[in-house]
Amino acid sequence: MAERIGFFVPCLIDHFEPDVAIHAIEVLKFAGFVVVVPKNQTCCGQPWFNVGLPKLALPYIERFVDRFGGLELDAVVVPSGSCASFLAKHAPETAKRKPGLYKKIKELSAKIREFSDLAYGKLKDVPLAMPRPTRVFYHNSCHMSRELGVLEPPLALIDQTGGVKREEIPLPLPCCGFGGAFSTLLPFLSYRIGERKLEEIAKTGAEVVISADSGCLMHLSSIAKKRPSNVRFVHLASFLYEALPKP
Amino acid sequence: MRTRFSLLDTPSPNLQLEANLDNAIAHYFQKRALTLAEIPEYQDLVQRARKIRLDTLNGLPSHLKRFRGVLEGAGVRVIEAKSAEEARRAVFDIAKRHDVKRAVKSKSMLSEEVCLNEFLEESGIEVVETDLGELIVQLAKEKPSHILTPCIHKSQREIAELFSRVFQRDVPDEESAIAELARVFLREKFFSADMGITGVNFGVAETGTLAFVENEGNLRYCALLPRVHVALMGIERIAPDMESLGTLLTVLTLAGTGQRAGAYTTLLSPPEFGRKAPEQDRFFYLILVDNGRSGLLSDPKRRETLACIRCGACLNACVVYRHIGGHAYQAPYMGPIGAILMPGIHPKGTERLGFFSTLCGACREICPVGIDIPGQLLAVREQFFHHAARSPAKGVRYLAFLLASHIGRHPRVVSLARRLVRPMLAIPYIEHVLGWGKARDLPVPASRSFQERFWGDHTDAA
Ligand code: SF4
Repeated sequence: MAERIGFFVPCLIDHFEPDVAIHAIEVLKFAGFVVVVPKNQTCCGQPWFNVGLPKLALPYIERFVDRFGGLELDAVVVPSGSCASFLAKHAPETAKRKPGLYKKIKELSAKIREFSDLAYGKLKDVPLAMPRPTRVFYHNSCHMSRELGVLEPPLALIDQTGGVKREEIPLPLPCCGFGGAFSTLLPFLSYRIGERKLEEIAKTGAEVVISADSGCLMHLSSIAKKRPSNVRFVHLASFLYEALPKP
Repeated sequence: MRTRFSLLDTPSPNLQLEANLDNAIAHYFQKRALTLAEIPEYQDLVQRARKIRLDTLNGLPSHLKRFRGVLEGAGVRVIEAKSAEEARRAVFDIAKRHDVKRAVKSKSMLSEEVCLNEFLEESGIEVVETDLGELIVQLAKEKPSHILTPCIHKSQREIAELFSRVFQRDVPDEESAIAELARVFLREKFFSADMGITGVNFGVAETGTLAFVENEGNLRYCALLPRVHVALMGIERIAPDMESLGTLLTVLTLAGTGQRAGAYTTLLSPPEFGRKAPEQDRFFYLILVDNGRSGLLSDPKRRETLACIRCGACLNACVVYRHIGGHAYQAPYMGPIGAILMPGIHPKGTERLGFFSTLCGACREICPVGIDIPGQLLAVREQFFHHAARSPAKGVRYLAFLLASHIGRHPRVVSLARRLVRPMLAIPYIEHVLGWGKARDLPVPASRSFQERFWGDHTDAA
């Protein structure tokens, strides 16, 4: 029996990079999942939680429960590390502020899987290949690696892709400086941190920056536009979509 | 207090500062990696240290009582200071009583917290910092920018220039020349000082032992040469017994400097001190400073912040600190620990420090007592908005987030907003109005969202 998974669409992907969601679904279908996309989804609520207004995140958690509850899903896949970490690690604690909500979200939280983590299980033996040789840099999302503990799967998926050389930064400044609310409250500082990260990446000679976090990607690419640079910013889902074996 | 605060956010980065911090911090990480490679059980030590700290805080009143009991039983004068003001007064009174003209001081962040130097200097008592980093900062008439490496914002060349100016001679850009000059300058101060002021790393409840860690030997001089020694200690810096002290000292230096132990570890135990030495008048005072700590202690959600052992590692790990340095925080404690401690002990004007973080979690990862610093930062942010109605700056932010949350709740409203925003981005200079766009090209939203494409434009309330 194929696993039934619910697809959560992070708001930045929904409204800014809709192709990423389409690519992610195609990759998951290829991997053998039955993908269910509930209608009328919204943001997960993380921005309000992170800014210190957890009560304002409650309606979002409620909607998530309303959309994904009762669908008999084996997992809920989230193609953005930071949203996945909020839904998996922080939503239940936050939901305690509203009677009855905790129990419902707890059950769903346990089913949250970050996209690359879920995909890796099924794709690890698939011959992936890029159409032409590419040097890439993988930008690790802090929330994804530190809170969810998902660090290896995206690297492994990239490394198994034929025609791809993965570059690294020797002593990395790990965070890209996005930080959600941080980037709106301290825009210049956030910009500067991202700019220096891009300088480090440029030194590696990578042409493509891959990440599995839509926030980091949007932040870095908006900074790159201000600088002379040919680097492309690609979500891991789109990268994998490009690398899938062609029928 | 000088903890007034304005958001530091400037379009022109300080490149020299960035380079100085990069150098020092890269050096720190190299040394740390080398040492930790030899200690496979480091994470176990951290877990042990964490448990010791949290257990101690949970029973702090009884540990403190025991600690005081042992000390006072041995004749040591212990003074309790509820506030910064009381702490300053206490030191001043002691200085007056013993007719002190000059004090030598070892590094103590607590003394910065209570603004001791300014107060004593204004009262006509000369205070000389004897830790090399602190001395540099004092001579430059600045404040420490790091809790362990006070002059981390300066390059060696800048320090040599400063010394050349202050000592009116040509000081080469060499570590040995700088250190030698400081040594000669300080020697005279040590021998002529009437009072030594030190901090305390830990006080051991079981034995009344005070533990001090240092690398330069100046603390020993401060504690032992002058006839009066005053030690300032935060009430939370208790280790229940000698065994737990051992664990805490080990993780402190491993995390702080990547050393297995400080160059000098000094343990002072009663009754050696506190007694009047027969041949001359020697006095010791311990000042236990609360200054807002009880408030943090009584809040179960915030108590964890007091577990900090002031190793400074979280500053080195913090991507924000590494770009702006310590002075930007305009507070005695800076970096991640400053951002969670200051709003706890001195909320006025410091709550915004909670936003000086991307919540990347590097601080929690490196903390030798495993403090959930991002979690504490979130609590500070909640605290910031708690009295939003009382301040226009807070109120405006709150309303913006409230409005956004109402828009975001309804898929149709979000789609409408997106359609409205798209053409607006073509308006010249619009990015200057929107915070995010001040510094970058605003990303353009898609003409149709994923959900609209997937389901067709008419998403009904299925
Ligand atoms: S919070 Fe942790 S890492 Fe930061 S100074 Fe304190 S003990 Fe060190």
